[in-house]
Amino acid sequence: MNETIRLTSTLTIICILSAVALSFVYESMNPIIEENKAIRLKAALKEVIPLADNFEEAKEISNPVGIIYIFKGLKDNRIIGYAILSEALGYGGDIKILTGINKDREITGIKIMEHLETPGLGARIEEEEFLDQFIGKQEKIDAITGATISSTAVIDTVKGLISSINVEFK
Amino acid sequence: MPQLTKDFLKGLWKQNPAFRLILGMCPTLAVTNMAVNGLAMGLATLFVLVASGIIISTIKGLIPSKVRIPCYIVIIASFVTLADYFLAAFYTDIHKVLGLYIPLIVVNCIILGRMEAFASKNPLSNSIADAFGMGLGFTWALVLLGSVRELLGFGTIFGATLLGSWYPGMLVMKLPTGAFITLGLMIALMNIINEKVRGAAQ
Repeated sequence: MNETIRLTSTLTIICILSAVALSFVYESMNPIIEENKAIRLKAALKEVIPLADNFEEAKEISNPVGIIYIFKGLKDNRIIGYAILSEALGYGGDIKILTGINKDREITGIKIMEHLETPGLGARIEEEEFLDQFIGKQEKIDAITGATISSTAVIDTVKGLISSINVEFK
Repeated sequence: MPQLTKDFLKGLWKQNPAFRLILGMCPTLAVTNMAVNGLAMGLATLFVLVASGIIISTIKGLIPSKVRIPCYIVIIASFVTLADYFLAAFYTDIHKVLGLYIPLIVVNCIILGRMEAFASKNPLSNSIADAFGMGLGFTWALVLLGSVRELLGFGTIFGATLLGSWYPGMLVMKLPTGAFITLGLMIALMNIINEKVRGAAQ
Protein backbone atom coordinates (compact mmCIF):
# COMPACT_ATOMS: atom_id res chain seq x y z
CA MET A 1 0.00 0.00 0.00
CA ASN A 2 2.71 2.39 1.06
CA GLU A 3 4.72 1.56 -2.04
CA THR A 4 1.75 2.10 -4.32
CA ILE A 5 1.30 5.59 -2.92
CA ARG A 6 4.99 6.34 -3.37
CA LEU A 7 5.00 5.14 -7.01
CA THR A 8 1.83 7.04 -7.89
CA SER A 9 2.80 10.23 -6.14
CA THR A 10 6.28 10.33 -7.73
CA LEU A 11 4.89 10.00 -11.24
CA THR A 12 2.06 12.44 -10.49
CA ILE A 13 4.45 15.08 -9.15
CA ILE A 14 6.73 14.74 -12.20
CA CYS A 15 3.75 15.04 -14.56
CA ILE A 16 2.40 18.12 -12.75
CA LEU A 17 5.80 19.84 -12.75
CA SER A 18 6.22 19.07 -16.42
CA ALA A 19 2.75 20.36 -17.27
CA VAL A 20 3.31 23.59 -15.33
CA ALA A 21 6.70 24.17 -16.97
CA LEU A 22 5.33 23.48 -20.44
CA SER A 23 2.36 25.77 -20.00
CA PHE A 24 4.78 28.61 -19.22
CA VAL A 25 6.81 27.76 -22.32
CA TYR A 26 3.63 27.63 -24.40
CA GLU A 27 2.45 30.99 -23.07
CA SER A 28 5.73 32.65 -24.02
CA MET A 29 6.28 30.98 -27.40
CA ASN A 30 2.75 30.81 -28.78
CA PRO A 31 2.39 34.52 -29.61
CA ILE A 32 5.62 34.32 -31.65
CA ILE A 33 4.45 31.17 -33.44
CA GLU A 34 1.07 32.76 -34.24
CA GLU A 35 2.79 35.95 -35.42
CA ASN A 36 5.07 33.93 -37.72
CA LYS A 37 2.02 32.25 -39.20
CA ALA A 38 0.31 35.59 -39.79
CA ILE A 39 3.43 37.04 -41.45
CA ARG A 40 3.77 34.02 -43.70
CA LEU A 41 0.11 34.20 -44.68
CA LYS A 42 0.31 37.92 -45.42
CA ALA A 43 3.41 37.42 -47.58
CA ALA A 44 1.76 34.57 -49.45
CA LEU A 45 -1.42 36.59 -50.07
CA LYS A 46 0.66 39.48 -51.39
CA GLU A 47 2.43 37.07 -53.69
CA VAL A 48 -0.76 35.69 -55.27
CA ILE A 49 -2.61 39.02 -55.53
CA PRO A 50 0.34 41.38 -56.11
CA LEU A 51 -1.79 44.49 -56.76
CA ALA A 52 -3.76 44.30 -53.51
CA ASP A 53 -2.67 46.36 -50.54
CA ASN A 54 -4.98 44.87 -47.93
CA PHE A 55 -6.49 41.46 -47.25
CA GLU A 56 -9.60 40.31 -45.43
CA GLU A 57 -10.95 36.87 -44.85
CA ALA A 58 -14.12 36.42 -46.94
CA LYS A 59 -16.20 34.79 -44.23
CA GLU A 60 -19.47 35.51 -46.05
CA ILE A 61 -18.64 33.00 -48.78
CA SER A 62 -19.48 29.46 -47.73
CA ASN A 63 -16.55 27.25 -48.57
CA PRO A 64 -17.26 24.46 -51.05
CA VAL A 65 -15.70 21.04 -50.55
CA GLY A 66 -11.91 21.07 -50.82
CA ILE A 67 -11.55 24.75 -50.04
CA ILE A 68 -10.12 25.71 -46.67
CA TYR A 69 -10.50 29.48 -46.73
CA ILE A 70 -10.96 32.42 -49.07
CA PHE A 71 -9.37 35.82 -48.67
CA LYS A 72 -10.40 39.07 -50.40
CA GLY A 73 -7.63 41.14 -51.91
CA LEU A 74 -8.49 44.82 -51.56
CA LYS A 75 -7.11 47.93 -53.22
CA ASP A 76 -8.58 51.26 -52.16
CA ASN A 77 -11.28 49.22 -50.40
CA ARG A 78 -12.45 47.63 -53.65
CA ILE A 79 -12.17 43.89 -54.18
CA ILE A 80 -9.65 43.26 -56.94
CA GLY A 81 -9.05 39.59 -56.36
CA TYR A 82 -9.65 36.53 -54.28
CA ALA A 83 -7.07 34.20 -52.80
CA ILE A 84 -8.35 30.70 -52.30
CA LEU A 85 -6.62 28.00 -50.29
CA SER A 86 -7.60 24.62 -51.66
CA GLU A 87 -6.47 21.11 -50.98
CA ALA A 88 -5.23 18.58 -53.53
CA LEU A 89 -4.39 14.95 -52.89
CA GLY A 90 -0.77 14.52 -53.84
CA TYR A 91 1.60 11.60 -53.72
CA GLY A 92 2.72 11.99 -50.11
CA GLY A 93 -0.37 13.64 -48.64
CA ASP A 94 -2.44 16.77 -48.95
CA ILE A 95 -1.06 19.66 -50.97
CA LYS A 96 -2.35 23.07 -49.89
CA ILE A 97 -2.47 25.50 -52.78
CA LEU A 98 -3.12 29.23 -52.53
CA THR A 99 -4.51 30.57 -55.80
CA GLY A 100 -5.08 34.23 -56.53
CA ILE A 101 -7.67 35.16 -59.17
CA ASN A 102 -8.82 38.47 -60.61
CA LYS A 103 -12.25 39.46 -61.87
CA ASP A 104 -11.61 37.97 -65.32
CA ARG A 105 -11.05 34.64 -63.54
CA GLU A 106 -7.42 34.73 -64.51
CA ILE A 107 -4.81 33.50 -62.12
CA THR A 108 -2.66 36.32 -60.77
CA GLY A 109 -0.43 34.15 -58.64
CA ILE A 110 -0.16 30.71 -57.17
CA LYS A 111 1.78 29.37 -54.22
CA ILE A 112 2.15 25.97 -52.57
CA MET A 113 1.62 26.53 -48.85
CA GLU A 114 2.13 23.02 -47.52
CA HIS A 115 2.98 19.66 -48.99
CA LEU A 116 4.51 16.31 -48.10
CA GLU A 117 5.86 15.41 -51.54
CA THR A 118 9.19 13.68 -52.14
CA PRO A 119 12.15 16.10 -51.99
CA GLY A 120 13.68 16.54 -55.44
CA LEU A 121 10.69 15.01 -57.24
CA GLY A 122 7.16 15.92 -56.19
CA ALA A 123 8.52 18.83 -54.16
CA ARG A 124 9.36 20.53 -57.45
CA ILE A 125 5.71 21.67 -57.62
CA GLU A 126 7.00 24.57 -55.50
CA GLU A 127 9.29 25.77 -58.28
CA GLU A 128 8.45 28.91 -60.22
CA GLU A 129 9.11 27.20 -63.54
CA PHE A 130 6.07 25.02 -62.89
CA LEU A 131 3.84 27.50 -61.09
CA ASP A 132 4.39 30.39 -63.51
CA GLN A 133 2.62 28.39 -66.21
CA PHE A 134 -0.66 29.00 -64.38
CA ILE A 135 -0.47 32.77 -64.43
CA GLY A 136 -2.68 34.65 -66.86
CA LYS A 137 -4.58 32.84 -69.58
CA GLN A 138 -3.45 29.26 -69.36
CA GLU A 139 -3.77 27.06 -72.39
CA LYS A 140 -1.74 23.99 -71.66
CA ILE A 141 0.13 23.35 -68.44
CA ASP A 142 2.94 20.84 -68.55
CA ALA A 143 3.29 18.36 -65.72
CA ILE A 144 6.73 17.80 -64.20
CA THR A 145 8.72 14.84 -65.46
CA GLY A 146 9.16 12.33 -62.67
CA ALA A 147 6.48 14.03 -60.59
CA THR A 148 3.37 13.31 -62.62
CA ILE A 149 1.10 12.52 -59.66
CA SER A 150 2.05 15.61 -57.65
CA SER A 151 1.95 18.06 -60.55
CA THR A 152 -1.24 16.64 -62.08
CA ALA A 153 -2.92 16.90 -58.67
CA VAL A 154 -2.07 20.60 -58.57
CA ILE A 155 -3.14 21.19 -62.18
CA ASP A 156 -6.49 19.39 -61.80
CA THR A 157 -7.31 21.06 -58.50
CA VAL A 158 -6.54 24.55 -59.76
CA LYS A 159 -8.46 24.02 -63.02
CA GLY A 160 -11.43 22.66 -61.09
CA LEU A 161 -11.26 25.62 -58.77
CA ILE A 162 -11.27 28.17 -61.58
CA SER A 163 -14.29 26.64 -63.29
CA SER A 164 -16.33 26.06 -60.14
CA ILE A 165 -15.54 28.96 -57.83
CA ASN A 166 -18.39 31.39 -57.38
CA VAL A 167 -17.18 34.76 -56.14
CA GLU A 168 -18.49 38.25 -56.73
CA PHE A 169 -16.63 41.43 -57.52
CA LYS A 170 -18.15 44.72 -56.57
CA MET B 1 42.70 9.83 -19.41
CA PRO B 2 40.31 11.15 -16.75
CA GLN B 3 36.93 9.40 -16.57
CA LEU B 4 35.08 12.59 -17.51
CA THR B 5 36.96 12.92 -20.82
CA LYS B 6 36.44 9.22 -21.52
CA ASP B 7 32.69 9.56 -20.90
CA PHE B 8 32.60 12.45 -23.34
CA LEU B 9 34.77 10.97 -26.09
CA LYS B 10 33.17 7.55 -26.37
CA GLY B 11 30.02 8.93 -28.02
CA LEU B 12 32.02 10.67 -30.72
CA TRP B 13 33.60 7.56 -32.21
CA LYS B 14 33.86 4.32 -30.25
CA GLN B 15 30.17 4.21 -29.31
CA ASN B 16 28.83 6.62 -31.93
CA PRO B 17 25.03 6.24 -31.65
CA ALA B 18 24.29 6.27 -35.38
CA PHE B 19 27.35 4.51 -36.81
CA ARG B 20 28.43 2.10 -34.03
CA LEU B 21 25.37 1.45 -31.86
CA ILE B 22 23.00 1.79 -34.85
CA LEU B 23 20.43 3.54 -32.66
CA GLY B 24 17.99 6.28 -33.60
CA MET B 25 17.67 5.02 -37.16
CA CYS B 26 14.32 6.68 -37.85
CA PRO B 27 15.63 10.28 -37.86
CA THR B 28 19.00 9.12 -39.22
CA LEU B 29 17.41 7.73 -42.35
CA ALA B 30 14.45 10.07 -42.66
CA VAL B 31 15.81 13.60 -42.36
CA THR B 32 19.32 13.37 -43.82
CA ASN B 33 18.51 14.27 -47.44
CA MET B 34 20.15 17.65 -46.78
CA ALA B 35 22.98 18.69 -44.47
CA VAL B 36 21.03 21.46 -42.73
CA ASN B 37 18.21 19.07 -41.79
CA GLY B 38 20.74 16.65 -40.31
CA LEU B 39 22.32 19.47 -38.32
CA ALA B 40 18.99 20.69 -36.95
CA MET B 41 17.85 17.20 -35.99
CA GLY B 42 21.26 16.48 -34.40
CA LEU B 43 21.22 19.67 -32.34
CA ALA B 44 17.61 19.15 -31.22
CA THR B 45 18.54 15.63 -30.08
CA LEU B 46 21.68 16.96 -28.37
CA PHE B 47 19.61 19.49 -26.46
CA VAL B 48 17.08 16.89 -25.30
CA LEU B 49 19.89 14.49 -24.31
CA VAL B 50 21.75 17.05 -22.22
CA ALA B 51 18.67 18.61 -20.59
CA SER B 52 17.08 15.25 -19.72
CA GLY B 53 20.45 13.93 -18.57
CA ILE B 54 20.86 16.82 -16.13
CA ILE B 55 17.38 16.40 -14.63
CA ILE B 56 17.44 12.62 -14.44
CA SER B 57 20.95 12.43 -13.02
CA THR B 58 19.96 15.02 -10.37
CA ILE B 59 16.73 13.36 -9.22
CA LYS B 60 17.76 9.74 -9.78
CA GLY B 61 17.66 8.98 -6.03
CA LEU B 62 14.04 10.15 -5.76
CA ILE B 63 12.57 8.00 -8.54
CA PRO B 64 11.45 4.50 -7.49
CA SER B 65 12.85 2.01 -10.00
CA LYS B 66 9.41 0.54 -10.79
CA VAL B 67 8.16 3.79 -12.35
CA ARG B 68 11.48 5.03 -13.70
CA ILE B 69 10.65 4.48 -17.39
CA PRO B 70 7.39 6.51 -17.37
CA CYS B 71 9.16 9.20 -15.34
CA TYR B 72 12.01 9.38 -17.86
CA ILE B 73 9.60 9.50 -20.78
CA VAL B 74 7.63 12.39 -19.23
CA ILE B 75 10.85 14.34 -18.67
CA ILE B 76 12.16 13.59 -22.17
CA ALA B 77 8.79 14.46 -23.75
CA SER B 78 8.75 17.80 -21.92
CA PHE B 79 12.10 18.80 -23.38
CA VAL B 80 11.11 17.58 -26.83
CA THR B 81 7.99 19.74 -26.68
CA LEU B 82 10.15 22.67 -25.60
CA ALA B 83 12.48 22.09 -28.58
CA ASP B 84 9.47 21.79 -30.87
CA TYR B 85 8.00 25.14 -29.72
CA PHE B 86 11.42 26.78 -29.91
CA LEU B 87 12.00 25.70 -33.51
CA ALA B 88 8.44 26.66 -34.49
CA ALA B 89 8.92 30.11 -33.01
CA PHE B 90 12.44 30.97 -34.15
CA TYR B 91 13.37 28.62 -37.02
CA THR B 92 10.11 28.32 -38.92
CA ASP B 93 11.63 27.00 -42.14
CA ILE B 94 13.55 24.20 -40.47
CA HIS B 95 10.51 23.38 -38.34
CA LYS B 96 8.45 23.05 -41.50
CA VAL B 97 10.90 20.54 -43.00
CA LEU B 98 11.55 18.48 -39.87
CA GLY B 99 7.88 18.71 -38.87
CA LEU B 100 6.81 15.29 -37.77
CA TYR B 101 10.29 14.09 -36.81
CA ILE B 102 10.76 16.52 -33.92
CA PRO B 103 8.03 14.99 -31.71
CA LEU B 104 9.46 11.59 -32.61
CA ILE B 105 12.67 12.44 -30.70
CA VAL B 106 10.69 11.28 -27.64
CA VAL B 107 10.95 7.69 -28.80
CA ASN B 108 14.52 7.95 -30.06
CA CYS B 109 16.22 4.99 -28.36
CA ILE B 110 19.47 6.92 -27.94
CA ILE B 111 17.86 9.19 -25.39
CA LEU B 112 16.01 6.65 -23.27
CA GLY B 113 19.03 4.36 -23.66
CA ARG B 114 21.48 6.94 -22.25
CA MET B 115 19.09 7.81 -19.41
CA GLU B 116 18.64 4.17 -18.46
CA ALA B 117 22.24 3.06 -19.01
CA PHE B 118 24.12 6.14 -17.86
CA ALA B 119 22.39 9.21 -16.36
CA SER B 120 20.40 7.13 -13.84
CA LYS B 121 23.58 5.47 -12.53
CA ASN B 122 26.29 8.16 -12.72
CA PRO B 123 27.05 11.51 -11.10
CA LEU B 124 25.81 14.72 -12.71
CA SER B 125 29.11 15.82 -14.30
CA ASN B 126 29.71 12.43 -15.94
CA SER B 127 26.12 12.33 -17.20
CA ILE B 128 26.53 15.74 -18.81
CA ALA B 129 29.78 14.63 -20.46
CA ASP B 130 28.11 11.46 -21.70
CA ALA B 131 25.07 13.34 -23.06
CA PHE B 132 27.26 15.88 -24.87
CA GLY B 133 29.45 13.17 -26.37
CA MET B 134 26.50 11.11 -27.56
CA GLY B 135 24.63 14.17 -28.84
CA LEU B 136 27.63 15.52 -30.75
CA GLY B 137 28.40 12.02 -32.07
CA PHE B 138 24.84 11.75 -33.37
CA THR B 139 25.01 15.28 -34.81
CA TRP B 140 28.22 14.79 -36.79
CA ALA B 141 26.92 11.49 -38.11
CA LEU B 142 23.71 13.13 -39.35
CA VAL B 143 25.56 16.12 -40.83
CA LEU B 144 27.97 13.80 -42.68
CA LEU B 145 25.13 11.65 -44.03
CA GLY B 146 23.20 14.78 -45.00
CA SER B 147 26.23 16.35 -46.72
CA VAL B 148 27.03 13.24 -48.77
CA ARG B 149 23.41 12.82 -49.82
CA GLU B 150 22.95 16.52 -50.57
CA LEU B 151 26.16 16.64 -52.62
CA LEU B 152 25.29 13.57 -54.68
CA GLY B 153 21.57 14.31 -54.86
CA PHE B 154 21.48 18.05 -55.44
CA GLY B 155 25.13 19.04 -56.05
CA THR B 156 25.13 21.33 -53.02
CA ILE B 157 26.23 21.23 -49.37
CA PHE B 158 24.36 23.42 -46.85
CA GLY B 159 22.71 25.02 -49.87
CA ALA B 160 26.03 26.16 -51.40
CA THR B 161 26.45 24.94 -54.96
CA LEU B 162 29.56 22.77 -55.31
CA LEU B 163 28.71 20.92 -58.48
CA GLY B 164 27.56 23.23 -61.26
CA SER B 165 24.39 23.12 -63.28
CA TRP B 166 25.92 20.39 -65.44
CA TYR B 167 25.37 17.97 -62.55
CA PRO B 168 22.04 16.20 -63.06
CA GLY B 169 21.67 15.03 -59.43
CA MET B 170 21.42 11.45 -58.31
CA LEU B 171 17.77 10.76 -57.71
CA VAL B 172 18.39 7.76 -55.46
CA MET B 173 20.28 9.93 -52.95
CA LYS B 174 17.25 12.18 -52.43
CA LEU B 175 15.07 9.19 -51.62
CA PRO B 176 15.13 7.01 -48.47
CA THR B 177 17.07 4.36 -50.41
CA GLY B 178 20.01 6.76 -50.57
CA ALA B 179 20.00 6.99 -46.78
CA PHE B 180 20.40 3.22 -46.42
CA ILE B 181 23.18 3.09 -49.04
CA THR B 182 25.09 6.02 -47.53
CA LEU B 183 24.69 4.70 -43.99
CA GLY B 184 26.01 1.29 -45.05
CA LEU B 185 29.01 2.85 -46.76
CA MET B 186 29.76 5.05 -43.72
CA ILE B 187 29.66 2.08 -41.35
CA ALA B 188 31.94 0.13 -43.73
CA LEU B 189 34.33 3.07 -43.91
CA MET B 190 34.38 3.34 -40.13
CA ASN B 191 35.14 -0.37 -39.83
CA ILE B 192 38.04 -0.03 -42.28
CA ILE B 193 39.47 2.90 -40.29
CA ASN B 194 39.11 0.96 -37.03
CA GLU B 195 40.87 -2.07 -38.58
CA LYS B 196 43.73 0.11 -39.79
CA VAL B 197 44.10 1.80 -36.40
CA ARG B 198 44.08 -1.57 -34.64
CA GLY B 199 46.63 -2.94 -37.15
CA ALA B 200 48.91 0.05 -36.60
CA ALA B 201 48.66 -0.32 -32.82
CA GLN B 202 49.71 -3.95 -32.83
